[in-house]
Amino acid sequence: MTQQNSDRIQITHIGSLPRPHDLLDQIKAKYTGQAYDQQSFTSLLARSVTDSVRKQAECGIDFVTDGEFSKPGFFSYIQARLEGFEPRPSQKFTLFEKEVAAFPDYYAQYFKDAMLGGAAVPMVPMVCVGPVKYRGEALLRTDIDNVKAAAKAAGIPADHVFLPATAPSGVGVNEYYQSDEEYFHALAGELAKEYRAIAEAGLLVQVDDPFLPDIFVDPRFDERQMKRRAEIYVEATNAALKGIPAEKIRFHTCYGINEGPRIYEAALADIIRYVLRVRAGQYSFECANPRHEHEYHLFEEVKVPDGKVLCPGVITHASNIVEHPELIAERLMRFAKLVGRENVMAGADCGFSSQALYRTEVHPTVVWEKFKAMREGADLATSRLWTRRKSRPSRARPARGKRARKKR
Amino acid sequence: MQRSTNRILTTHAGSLPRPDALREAWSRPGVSDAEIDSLLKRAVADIVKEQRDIGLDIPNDGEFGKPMRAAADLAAWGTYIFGRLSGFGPSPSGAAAPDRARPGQPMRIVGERWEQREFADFYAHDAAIPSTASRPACIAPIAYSGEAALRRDLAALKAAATTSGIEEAFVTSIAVGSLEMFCRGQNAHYARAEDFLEGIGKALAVEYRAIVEAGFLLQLDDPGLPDTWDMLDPHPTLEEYKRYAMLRIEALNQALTGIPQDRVRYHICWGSWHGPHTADLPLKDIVDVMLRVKAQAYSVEAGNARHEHEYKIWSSTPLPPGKLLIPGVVSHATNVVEHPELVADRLVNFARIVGRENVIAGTDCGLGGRVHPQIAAAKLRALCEGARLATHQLWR
Repeated sequence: MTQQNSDRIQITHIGSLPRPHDLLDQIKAKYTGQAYDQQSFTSLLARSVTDSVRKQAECGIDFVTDGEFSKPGFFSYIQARLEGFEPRPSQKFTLFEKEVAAFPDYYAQYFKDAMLGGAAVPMVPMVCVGPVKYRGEALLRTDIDNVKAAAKAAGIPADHVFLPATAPSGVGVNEYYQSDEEYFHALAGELAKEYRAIAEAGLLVQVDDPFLPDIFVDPRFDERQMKRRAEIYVEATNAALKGIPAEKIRFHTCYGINEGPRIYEAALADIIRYVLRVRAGQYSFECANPRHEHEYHLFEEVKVPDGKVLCPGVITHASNIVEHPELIAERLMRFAKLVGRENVMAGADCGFSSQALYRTEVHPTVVWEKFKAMREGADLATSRLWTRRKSRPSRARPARGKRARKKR
Repeated sequence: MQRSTNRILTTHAGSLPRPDALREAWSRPGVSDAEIDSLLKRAVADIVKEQRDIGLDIPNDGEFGKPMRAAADLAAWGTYIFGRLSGFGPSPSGAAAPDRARPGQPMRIVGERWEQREFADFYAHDAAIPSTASRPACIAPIAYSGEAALRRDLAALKAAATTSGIEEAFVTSIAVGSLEMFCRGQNAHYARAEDFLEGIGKALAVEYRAIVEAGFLLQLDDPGLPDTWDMLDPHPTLEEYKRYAMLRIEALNQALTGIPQDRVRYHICWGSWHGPHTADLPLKDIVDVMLRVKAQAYSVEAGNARHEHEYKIWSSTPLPPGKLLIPGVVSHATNVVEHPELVADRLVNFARIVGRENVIAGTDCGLGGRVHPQIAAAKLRALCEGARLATHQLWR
């Protein structure tokens, strides 16, 4: 399976990258109803994706993507691809409710400059007011064609290309369906078209679900409601992924690209049982920031099902400091010792451009440096994890958990 | 000096966010000494009590007597000293230290770091790196003239510590080499670097001694030790740099003459702005020089993505008997508040190598002027909670 490592630690990232400013100018025009030239947008987009994929390959990234360059945001993009919604500009986004209550001053300033405040395309809340229907075929086709062509030009096989797509939980608010459960399943039926098209094009589907962890810090829900809602998310996601082989799927959770104190965030322990129930071949989660770095300990107790790959963040969007390759290696070794070296892919905590932003959380030049550090750190880990066994015949089964530890 | 005999003790690197009223007063032209004195006294009493309530074992005055005039200020640890020394002023030519050395000229400290050259675009747009344009030059013999300000600071802390029932508190002071680094090596008075350093050392010794005589631990702030590496042009080899650094450490040790080692802790860091820090000199390359400082405790960054892995160097560099380490386990370098479990992991990593009784939990660098005040408080709480978790693991 491509996602598992055979002789070295593979590396990837999570999707969004700082978009070129000339492209942002055109995205802004396109999504705010100003005049723009479709033809020049199309060629600029293709060129930008080609450049970005080439740079990713040059940094040694094994699994590449299009940087989400065509999209105004990692979940807001879906609005253009679904029918049944109306914009509700008067409705307010509530982000990080408990955090903001605890650090009001800090977040007032932060939201002004970053996140939605800095988005090239203002984000408008969407409300579902009619039957949901997918209409994004042409937009998706463009993304697939661009990234496949770019990968080919960079010498990367299609099965080492991933394309992110939002989970059913990331699409607006329901006012049409009888229940949220019905709503999420209706969405699943339509989003399945996007997921399937990505898989059928030979690419990996990455399902983005930052909304799953959010449930566990949402003051509206009691414990029972939290559990039920998480189950619905998982059921809807699995329904949408039906028919796609697990090894073609990466499931990504995170906590929104937030550089704040982040005291009120769900622990991985709260969500892991739901995460592992998603029928994916690979699970991506944050592990490279001071709020979540310790959570690798969870896998001292939680068993990861056979054949599944963990993709912990080993570099983060939450700081401009470039992670030292030795630290990256250490982070990867911790996981390898717990779940087997075959089952760890190096990743990022989250994307590097929360929305289409002119000023991204991490400066573009620093992002590329982080990618290079990740390659170097993964190679260090590889040399420590594989060297000692070089002369032995390769094992029939991947090393696992405690067994692997005892061997060392 | 207290050590972690039955639990992991906690402290921090010094600077804490200043109250608005104090910042506003420092910024007001013509503000009276009496007003500053009374504001400072109250603010120090409050911050010492706050540190005690958070659970910090070895607090300080938050460096409140070192003027900070803006909410974001990364330089107050150094600027304060020029109000307490004679011999410094605008350079005779009126020019600042050059950004780069002219080809063929001897190695000197310049205004532009090598990392700034490597990440030119980032530094041009994103980074709040303190400006060095107005850093003073040495233009006359150096002498200490800050007795009044120093007495005021020490009295305020003494009163606050007594009220809050604090056993041991620390007071920061700039190290000899860091003062030279802070003014970017601009010396128009002394003939040789050795003389310049000796002049600085003699003046600062007055401050060092007064702090210790007042019953406090002296913390020497010496970011210059690892960080001047990135400011020297032409760039030295590591051997050249270690010789360069050793000269500064000898001058510092000279200034510490007569002060018992167990009253001194020594702090290094790598510049506290939020940059990539890829040019930071690895600790392993300078640790032997650091350990030559006549101090009992060494406070070192270990709570950020560039230096977190360096705890491992203590496996091959034994910590000399009797010495203590104060690793940074929460950092100024990110707004994300460290999870107490991570703080505990970091402390346990150190304790397993150098012994639990030789580790005190600290911060990478000062938090004041670097993170939002509420975030600074949350980080200090995480530090203390993490130390409790580590204690539980290490003493069970």
